[in-house]
Amino acid sequence: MPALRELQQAYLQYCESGNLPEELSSSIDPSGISQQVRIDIYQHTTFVTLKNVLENAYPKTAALLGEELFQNCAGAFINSNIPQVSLLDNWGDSFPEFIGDIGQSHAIPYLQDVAQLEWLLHIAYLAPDYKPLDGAELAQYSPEQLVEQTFTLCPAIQLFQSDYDVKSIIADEEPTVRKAYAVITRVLAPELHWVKADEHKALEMLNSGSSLAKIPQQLPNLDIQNFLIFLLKNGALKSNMAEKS
Amino acid sequence: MVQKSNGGVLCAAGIGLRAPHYQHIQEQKPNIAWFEIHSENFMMPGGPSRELLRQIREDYPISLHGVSLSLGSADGLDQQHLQLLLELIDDIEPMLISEHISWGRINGKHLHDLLPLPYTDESLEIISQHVIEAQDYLGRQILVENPSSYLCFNDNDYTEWEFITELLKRSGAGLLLDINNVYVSCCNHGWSTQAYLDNIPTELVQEIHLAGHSKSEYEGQAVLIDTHSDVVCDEVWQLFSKFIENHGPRATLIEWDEEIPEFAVLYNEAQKAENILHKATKETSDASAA
Repeated sequence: MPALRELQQAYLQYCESGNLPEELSSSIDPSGISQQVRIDIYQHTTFVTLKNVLENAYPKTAALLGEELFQNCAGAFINSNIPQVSLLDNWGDSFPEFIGDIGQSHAIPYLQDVAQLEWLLHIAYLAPDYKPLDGAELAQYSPEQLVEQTFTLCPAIQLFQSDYDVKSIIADEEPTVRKAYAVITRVLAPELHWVKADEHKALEMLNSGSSLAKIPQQLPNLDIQNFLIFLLKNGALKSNMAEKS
Repeated sequence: MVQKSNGGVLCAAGIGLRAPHYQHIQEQKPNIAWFEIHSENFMMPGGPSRELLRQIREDYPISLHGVSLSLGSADGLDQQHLQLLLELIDDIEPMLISEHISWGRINGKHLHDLLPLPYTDESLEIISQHVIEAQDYLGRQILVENPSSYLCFNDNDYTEWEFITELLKRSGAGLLLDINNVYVSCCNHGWSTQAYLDNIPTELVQEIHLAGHSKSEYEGQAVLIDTHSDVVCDEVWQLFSKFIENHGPRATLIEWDEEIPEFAVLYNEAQKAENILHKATKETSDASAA
């Protein structure tokens, strides 16, 4: 019998390469059913678990690929991306990039972007809780202080943009040529808001530390007042008064 | 509902808390003694899941059942995972914490399965040390669950029940006795369920799991798979009744993880377990009164 570490490494090697190492197969009682079949019962469980994780995180992507192609993509991804994390909620972030080429070769050029949006919704759901800035806190700033103030986006806030009309694609509508811009907020559950290009740009500016005063300078057509109301209503800005709720 | 306390643990029937039933439980607050969660589903510190668990905890005792600590890994324990588990424990104050006698992590890679250990002196030493380390880190006893398995290693130094007995002795852990796992493994390997259950330290059993399994065929041989996808079979109910009759009531969980039915189906299974627990409690009380 090999040492426990060798035995466990041999099983990992089987999962990654598909080749059953001799030190593993020869350690297993062959009576009744062959060693390979017995090991495959376990490997199948691992595959189904990980495939279900991907399917839950990327439901629209899976639907665009269709059952058979998604199963093949998931299998290839799993073999080369065995989780290095103990919590499966944290696994699968590189799936959008992985399927990018597959999308191109199957006339689904927007596939990677749809998958990316689904991952952003996933991480918005899991993000740490933070106390959002509210109207009462905002009222404490004088107008002069307010324009110079910088704000941080809450951890759940995710920004998304695509050269494809992802809004129509995920609504199962005929896509147009327009680009897509979105922000994901979370008050109770993640909420996807399709926004205009300048609103998206303003969020990027806030995220990179711009003060409110700089936004109208760069984006003169943005209705800054309504933009702020939108951010407050959706709990998008982190309170500066308390680090964490 | 049986409310007899076994060291602060309810000797009553509980149900595994699963996503399709969250809304029903929050709205209807069914008459169930306790719920058990898979710890990993709630270990992320923020977000709606943790908040939902806190709300359910206000109405029910909760036990934590882990699937990814990988107590039998030659890699050692994942310290970050332990820390997240400790934070969940501090937040939820569970009545019981359990994990599996298995491994799932090597070379820093997590296979997310409950893989079997050879029952050797080396494995025993490794898993015993990891259970002790986990208990020290968490500051309390954990329960370890007997596995269901589909293969046996050639050169075991112990039977499964000997391995479990020695592990409990060395580590001070309690036993989560999964009676469906006993049945599945005994059928798959030709072991005797009676020998298994007669030779485990029954006084250390603090919780029992009951679940359904499925049957598959490989190379012309039937194999029972621990899928948690059906009602508890008659044979497992009989083993459970006999165990409770002989050793008294224990916290008992109905598990269902695949093809999850309406809550009422699990509730009926829990009621069935509750009736068996209640009968044992009544007989013990009657005997004491006489």
